Amino acid sequence: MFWGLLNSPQVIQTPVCDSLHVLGVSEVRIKVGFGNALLTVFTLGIYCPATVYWKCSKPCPITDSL
Amino acid sequence: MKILKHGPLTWSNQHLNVTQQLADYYDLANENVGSPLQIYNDTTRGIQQIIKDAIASNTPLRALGANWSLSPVAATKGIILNTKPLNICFTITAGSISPAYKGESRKLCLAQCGTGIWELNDFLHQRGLSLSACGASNGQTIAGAIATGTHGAAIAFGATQDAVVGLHIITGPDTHIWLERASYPVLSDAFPGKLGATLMRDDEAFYAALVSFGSFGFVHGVLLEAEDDYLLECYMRRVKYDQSWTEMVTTLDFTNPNFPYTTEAPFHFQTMLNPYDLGNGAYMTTMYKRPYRSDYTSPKPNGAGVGPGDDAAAFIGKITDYLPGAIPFVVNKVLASSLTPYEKQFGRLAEIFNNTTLRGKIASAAIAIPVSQVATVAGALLDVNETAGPFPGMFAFRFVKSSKATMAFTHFAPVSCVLELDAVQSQTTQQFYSEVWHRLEQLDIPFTFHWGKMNALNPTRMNSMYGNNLNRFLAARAKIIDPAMIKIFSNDAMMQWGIDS
Repeated sequence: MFWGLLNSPQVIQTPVCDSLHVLGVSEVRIKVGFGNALLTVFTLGIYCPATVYWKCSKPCPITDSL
Repeated sequence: MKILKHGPLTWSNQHLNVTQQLADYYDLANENVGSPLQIYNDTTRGIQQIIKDAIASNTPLRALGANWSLSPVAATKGIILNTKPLNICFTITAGSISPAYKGESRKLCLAQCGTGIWELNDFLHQRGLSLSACGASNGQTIAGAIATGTHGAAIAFGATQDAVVGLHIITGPDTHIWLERASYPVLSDAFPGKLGATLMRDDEAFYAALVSFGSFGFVHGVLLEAEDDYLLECYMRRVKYDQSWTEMVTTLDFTNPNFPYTTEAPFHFQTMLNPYDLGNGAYMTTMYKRPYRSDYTSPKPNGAGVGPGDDAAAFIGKITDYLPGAIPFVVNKVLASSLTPYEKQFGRLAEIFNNTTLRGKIASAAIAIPVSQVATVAGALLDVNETAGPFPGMFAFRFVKSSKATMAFTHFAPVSCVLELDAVQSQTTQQFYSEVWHRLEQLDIPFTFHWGKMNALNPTRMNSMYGNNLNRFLAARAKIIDPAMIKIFSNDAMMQWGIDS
């Protein structure tokens, strides 16, 4: 709220990454579209919606000798 | 193997220039229980089951690497298989080597298809080794890089696929092969048994499978021959765009005084032209191979975040699609800040050609041409820029040893020049590309398209570009995989290129 002056941090759940036994994410992108930006301006920053995208990181490499 | 099915979705490549509605998108991942070999073999069986189901339901499959290609090579109406989490790496012991192999087992590495170039770089460096060549960045997966002929500018070595000495290919629901050259056996006759694969030593099949754009079954493992770690001594200079430039690029005469060393051929050679600033000369990048030592200062990107190994894709997106009249000014501004000459910077291959951050929506097309035609092509580009431009980018020429892979686009011997046309995505860019291809055909200049970049391939061009090599490729593929598999691993691009059956 109010352009971030008040916020309640959200924990991003990554069920896809977790199910692949991948530890965490490698990239996070926050996208605010034109409509959401307008909403933010018209509500004076009280409501600041954004979409969060992330990519799973790669699994820890498994190595061995053959 | 773990398979995470996402259901129908709209997929786009990294550069957002290819979009396709998919029947499904599978994330593939290795199990985490068992020995690495057991896990690898379990994944082979898992992929075979996917193939079996796909044949039964007549659903096309496409293996996806790093999603980096700008051509529709990875697209499908069926199921995309995300291979990036498949990243097991094996070293090879002396006991697994063929008695006929003359190399050192410690330099061999069997990488699972989804292993990233950056992961391989780390794996090899920890063992005092390095890849012999790679592209300008390190984000590709190894199977994706070789499938599309990813190249750098290793003038005496070649492209990424030229370091490959063995392939583990899943050829059907119940078959998979270990493929090597008969003329260059590497692993022992018993080795394929560890993978449960059938041994096949066949030069023709090997070279056909090496660059096969995902149409040769599922490439599960890639055996690479690495070399002892080394440093690259790097220079970027501006040289006059005149007759001496023409001689330099068409004869590859490295005694030219413009080169930092006139008695030594560089490991890496490329030159770039800014069509809006030719008066200040061409850009010329050279890199020389040096023995590895640890007491060097690692290369640093310049103020614009561009490092010694970056190609134009790293910064060209800063040029936005301005009004045509503003393009020369904008290109000059962006290049002036992005391409700052440097002298004697040192770094490992992995440090020079490292992460690339995409900035903006870029378009990228590349073609290989014979070295003898470079100056003529440069003249044609400048001419087309007058009539179909202004092109919102620059012209880069990278020189790479020709590849023996049957369908390598870098097949002009002894050295191919890869012309790279990186620019902003726009109508002007597309029109410029079309005009360039048309002009080169008018001038009767042979060229081939990069498999992983924007192209205008069709069956006629495929035939004129590859001739008998295309027949050899199709014959070798028909020997390895059956028509049902060819159909399952085809997509619209294969159909458009005339290689779907």
